[in-house]
Amino acid sequence: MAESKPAQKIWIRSNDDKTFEIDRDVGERSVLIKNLLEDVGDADLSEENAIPIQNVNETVLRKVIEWCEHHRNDPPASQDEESDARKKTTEIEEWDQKFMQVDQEMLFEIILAANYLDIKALLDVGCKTVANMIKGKSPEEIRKTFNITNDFSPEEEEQIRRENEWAEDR
Amino acid sequence: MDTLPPETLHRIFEHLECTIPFDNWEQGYIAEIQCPPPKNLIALSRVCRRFRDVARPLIYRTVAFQWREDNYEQKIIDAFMRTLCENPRLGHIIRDFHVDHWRSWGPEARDIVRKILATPENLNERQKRWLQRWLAAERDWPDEDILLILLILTPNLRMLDCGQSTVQGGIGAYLSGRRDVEDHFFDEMLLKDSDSRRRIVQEDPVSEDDDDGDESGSDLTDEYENDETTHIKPTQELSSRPIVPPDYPMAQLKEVRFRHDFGNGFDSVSEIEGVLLHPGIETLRLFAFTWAKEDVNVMRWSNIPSTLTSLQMKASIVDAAGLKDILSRCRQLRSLHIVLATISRMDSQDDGDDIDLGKMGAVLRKYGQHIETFDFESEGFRGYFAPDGHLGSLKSLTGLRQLKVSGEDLDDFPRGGDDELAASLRNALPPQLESIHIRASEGRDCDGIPRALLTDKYFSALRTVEVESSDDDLVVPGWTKSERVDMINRNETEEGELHPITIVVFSRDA
Repeated sequence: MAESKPAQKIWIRSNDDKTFEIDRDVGERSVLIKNLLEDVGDADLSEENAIPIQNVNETVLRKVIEWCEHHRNDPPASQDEESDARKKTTEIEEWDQKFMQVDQEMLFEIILAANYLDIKALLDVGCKTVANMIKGKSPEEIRKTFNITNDFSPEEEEQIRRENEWAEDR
Repeated sequence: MDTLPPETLHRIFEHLECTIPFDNWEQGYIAEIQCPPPKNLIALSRVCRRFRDVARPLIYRTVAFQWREDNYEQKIIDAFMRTLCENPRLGHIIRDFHVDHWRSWGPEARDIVRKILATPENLNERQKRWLQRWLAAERDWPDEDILLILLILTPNLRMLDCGQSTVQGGIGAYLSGRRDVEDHFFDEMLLKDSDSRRRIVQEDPVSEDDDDGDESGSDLTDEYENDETTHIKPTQELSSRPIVPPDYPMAQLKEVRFRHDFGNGFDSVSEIEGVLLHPGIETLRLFAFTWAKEDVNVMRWSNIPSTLTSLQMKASIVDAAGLKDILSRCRQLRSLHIVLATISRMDSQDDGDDIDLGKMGAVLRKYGQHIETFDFESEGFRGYFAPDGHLGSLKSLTGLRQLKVSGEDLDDFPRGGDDELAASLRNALPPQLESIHIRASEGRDCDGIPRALLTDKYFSALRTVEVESSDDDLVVPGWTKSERVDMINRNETEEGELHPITIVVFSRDA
């Protein structure tokens, strides 16, 4: 039996200077990192020359890497945004549900990091998690959940109510 | 949530958007397709201004009204109309629109149209013209007018999905986007009495000498096979090139679905002929429509090519003359899916009498060279009628790549030895075929067909063979066998009940 080749390593550095050594295929779950690796070339890959991930701190980057490692063998994400939009659901697989059991601040940080690193599947899981937190709630409950201030005037509130009357009480 | 940019909020809110289902579209309200109202998005729009700005376009991007027995839906549609009248810009956001049913409006329709016209700055010239001519017309307001006014207020529609009891010319004319067709509608359909149209058709010399009108009993299969000239003749003084008005407001329209939502009867494709003239339409799905000789005879714009690439007709009646019209006017058509109606839909036995598969096969061979996907289903129809003949050889269809058909519809395959069957299949199917789905039929088994297809080098392009019944122990080297269960409503039950059917799938190994 042929021996499996050891995975190629790459290094990425958080914005608070923590360097992570990860397998290349794990890093390439991020389109941003994949493109950067193509630009840099294999010869320049080293721990000293770690790829800077400017918008993501150590705690969040660790979490993102954990997700990428778990999903390293997933098929590549579809590029067909329109077709995806038509298949939208809020179902989340069990491992991802547990992964996303974090406080709100961390949840939003993961979403922002997934957006910055261009990891569509992680971004989707994060967005679905927030969507599930919204589902079935009244405007006041949503405000409470996410600590949002109501900045509408009474006239604006009445206008919105009237505008969407067709979709209420159905 | 303050840290999230609007585009990320948009991604989150998108997961709460109503979407119109694509599978089993034809069952409409019968199957109680789930398309919930956008309550979550509306709640979001009432949280704060920032959320409102993101949620609002999503509320209006897809709008679906589903039929309810208590007629409450009508109040909802009335409220929706009021919203669009008060803020026409919201109508411009709508991309996908689904409505099952609506009632007729009374005189209040005029007030609403006047109200819309009172803010002309929100309307383009075409919208204004339609509404003004509508007001000027002295006629009763049929049910379809609500839909038409809704369409006028939703100029960026991408997909229209509607079920209704009667489709009439106004919707087709509006969706055509052609000024000349609109003018014809207003002149002939709206401003004059409805008899005028019938009179015009009767006086049309083209209808009389049309070769499809020949009922002398001659062999029409030969006629279709050997006819070197097309039957299409201009019936109106119209340019064959699409005329897109400069203020054309339906440029985004790609797909239209019409369902005849009563349990029996059909609508005629002639009533929606204008849709075929839309210069950007790609997909048309029709449920319980007829596209047959009688319909072709009253259609007016067969000379204008359609841009359709995909046509589905379910629970419908299509005969050889209709098929010829489809293939001749839709020369970009790549995918054609026909499911013949069952008897429960027919008003009389006569509805199904003219289906002659032999003639249809001849039409396919002569006019169907551009078809890549052909899906033909007659099982429900065959339960009550015995259509004449078989489609016969499709070998000459050089574009055909995907085929779904029953062995019985295709040809009278021999039941004898494998060699004889293999020779028949080579004669019936084109060698470039990439996938084939053999439907089960009560008339004959098709168990020998998959083995013959899988083992014959002539079909080296085949990648997938699917059968609805098969030898359980069939194993062929180089092919992987699997099974899946499809849910189908083959007998078109009124409840829209779906039945599981096991499909045996053979996939060629890489």
